[in-house]
Amino acid sequence: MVVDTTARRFSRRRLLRGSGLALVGLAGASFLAACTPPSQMESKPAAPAKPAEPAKPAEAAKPAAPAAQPAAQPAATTAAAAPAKPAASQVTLKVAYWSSSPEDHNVFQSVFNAFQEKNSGIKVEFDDIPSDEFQQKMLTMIVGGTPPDTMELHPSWVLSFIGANQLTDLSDKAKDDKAAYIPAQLEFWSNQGKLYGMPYYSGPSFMFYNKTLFQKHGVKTPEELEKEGAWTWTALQDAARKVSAGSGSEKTFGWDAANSDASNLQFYTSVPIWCNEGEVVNKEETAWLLDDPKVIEVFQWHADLFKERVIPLPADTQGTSWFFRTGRIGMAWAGRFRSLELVNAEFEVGMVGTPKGKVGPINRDGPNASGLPVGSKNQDAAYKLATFMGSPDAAPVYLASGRALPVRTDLLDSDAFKKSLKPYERQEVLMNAAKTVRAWRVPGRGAEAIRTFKAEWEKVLIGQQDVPTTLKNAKAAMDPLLKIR
Amino acid sequence: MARTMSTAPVSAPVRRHFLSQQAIEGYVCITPWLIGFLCFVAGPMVAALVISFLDWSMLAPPEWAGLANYRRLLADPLFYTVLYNTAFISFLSVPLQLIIALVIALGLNEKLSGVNLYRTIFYLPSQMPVVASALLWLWVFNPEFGLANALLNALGMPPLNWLFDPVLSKPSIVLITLWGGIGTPLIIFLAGLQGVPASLHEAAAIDGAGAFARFRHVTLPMLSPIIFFNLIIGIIASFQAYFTLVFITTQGGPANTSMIYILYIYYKAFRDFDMSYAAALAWVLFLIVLVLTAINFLLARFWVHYEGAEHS
Repeated sequence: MVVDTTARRFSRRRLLRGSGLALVGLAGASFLAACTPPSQMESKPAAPAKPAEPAKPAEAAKPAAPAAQPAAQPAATTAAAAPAKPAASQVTLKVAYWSSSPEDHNVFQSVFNAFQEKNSGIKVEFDDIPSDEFQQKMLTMIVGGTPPDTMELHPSWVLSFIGANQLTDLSDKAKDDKAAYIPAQLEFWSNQGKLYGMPYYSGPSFMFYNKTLFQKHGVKTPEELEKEGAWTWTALQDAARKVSAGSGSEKTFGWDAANSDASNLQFYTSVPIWCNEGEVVNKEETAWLLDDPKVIEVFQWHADLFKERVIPLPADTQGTSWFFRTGRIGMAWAGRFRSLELVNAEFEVGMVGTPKGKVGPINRDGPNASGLPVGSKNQDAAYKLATFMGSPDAAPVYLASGRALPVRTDLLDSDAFKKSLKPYERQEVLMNAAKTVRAWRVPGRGAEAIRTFKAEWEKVLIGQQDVPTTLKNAKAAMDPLLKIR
Repeated sequence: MARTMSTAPVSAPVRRHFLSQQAIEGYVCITPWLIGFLCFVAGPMVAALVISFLDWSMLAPPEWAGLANYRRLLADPLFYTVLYNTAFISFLSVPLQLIIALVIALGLNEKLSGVNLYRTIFYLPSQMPVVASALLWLWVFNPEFGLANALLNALGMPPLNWLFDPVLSKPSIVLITLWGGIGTPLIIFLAGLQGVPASLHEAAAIDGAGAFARFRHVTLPMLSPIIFFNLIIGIIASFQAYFTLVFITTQGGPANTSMIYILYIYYKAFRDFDMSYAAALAWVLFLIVLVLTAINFLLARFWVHYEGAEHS
């Protein structure tokens, strides 16, 4: 009896012990799995950066048929599960984009719905990833071997993905489609003669201005200056000074230079520099040209306007998502995505294009395209979706949102585009903005370069350093970043 | 003597074997924690150490870099800036938090009417989400219409740029950390104060000790282990925390004057994807915190008094 009881108790403990050991074993296994370097760690360290398996052009030319995917790429799960079914009904595209608002999310979803309607064999699974986490999530997915079939691209970081051979070269696939696009829109996604993205969104800059404020001060509006052929960067500075007035919470400012961030080379400052016949980097992209007198001149007049409180300081705009909407700004550098925010503005809104300088007008853009990660399992269907998103079929949806400009030449004068215009939007301004875009991407370690420049520029704003010294120091810190690709 | 000792009727020491049944049952019980520790703490730490010796940007295959990241760190001027900023904020905010929390705890330890309400009020800010708290303080420090400048204005003083001023950015952050950071040490101090035996105070009072002398010679020594605990936790937290607060309020500006260590690691890892350098930074931070904690433990013997211990 005693023996039996002990044995029973002991066996229960044994069971516990066994379970414990099994759990420890499991923990050890998962720990080892977690610590196992990603697949790319398997490649020899001494070997040069080896690209992941690129899609073969011959396969790329095939119609969507995942069941017939080559052995080099693992077959889609659905295809493996049911190889006898027609290929057209088996494709599920996993796509990754970021939306800036619930409305924007709906625009994406509507475009994907329209695509599915036209391509009954393809299902689109939309992964809406917050923009702040997007690049990080894409890296994790790619490194983890589960890349999406198409992913949103942005010019500020596309080069790092291209440089690491993680994006499919679309040159062959797109050879018959390229002609339809605005050339600059393709340039953003090209590198060394190869195309890595199909554009679907364009957002070149222009200016909104507060007509009410100009009328209040009796100052000629930018539109009037434009009609006179006198709309230049110098005229902008004069006008900005004239509509700056008051103090405290009633103070008005003349010019909102990219949310008071004149250090934002990608979004704003490159434009007045180009219009001043300057360049931000040299042609070989091996050195920043920030110490060039033409560049210094541009930053100097910005520093002067900050000092004169014609441009608000970051402290002034704190707590507002877009200061122009408060009615206390004369003119604001903006993209069309801001237009929706002005529907209920309590002042009369005007729109004018980029001013001329010694040359120009030259414009910038912050476009987006769809790229196909090399590990995408459904390259053909993915390409189909990538081209659909900027096509006339999708245009009624994505242009109607009132946020984007067409990426194709034939859509610039389309009814879909005209219908999307708000009463204060001028089609000719938007068309000129699109046509004068110069494709430029911050080279090297772009994010770090911009951050470094911003920290230096802030020394000007707080009166710690003069403009030439700042630009010289910034160049010294930023040049080495161009060497890292 | 030794023989006498050996024959004395003392019980034999209990041998605790690693593989005894009791020990194994203990291991089983801690297994869930152990799994979490191995997978989510020790594993990533070891991985980060390995990565710090590589050149790896996530997208390209890693290459062995040896000590290159650590050499780069020593040559990086921003490394010293962020180290200084972090030390400034940490060494200012932690002592201030402890002093203010202790003073308030002393007040809240008195038998006052509505004391529970006051305790809740003082503890509440520490429970507020950091994002909400940071946004709230952005408004308070708004140079144009913030409460802080309204107060200065009422006192006839000129407005300040607070978070946007290179001199004031760090002290402003310290102010914010005080608001949200005193709740937890306050509760711990309060618990400690309630554990100080009344008999000690009474004995000191009989000996003629006044209120301050009782605080100095009874309360403080009795609270010293708790102060020490709060200090250690505070320093460790201050070197690793405040990320959200700084990220929302200043993003490290103006001109890197509020760029703290942990934010710099974040920028390096998840903005620049300079993973190896970020891992090296993380390991250096770990070593710094380790050394600071060790120094604190060494110094503790001079001022921390444990009840029942033969010496402090």
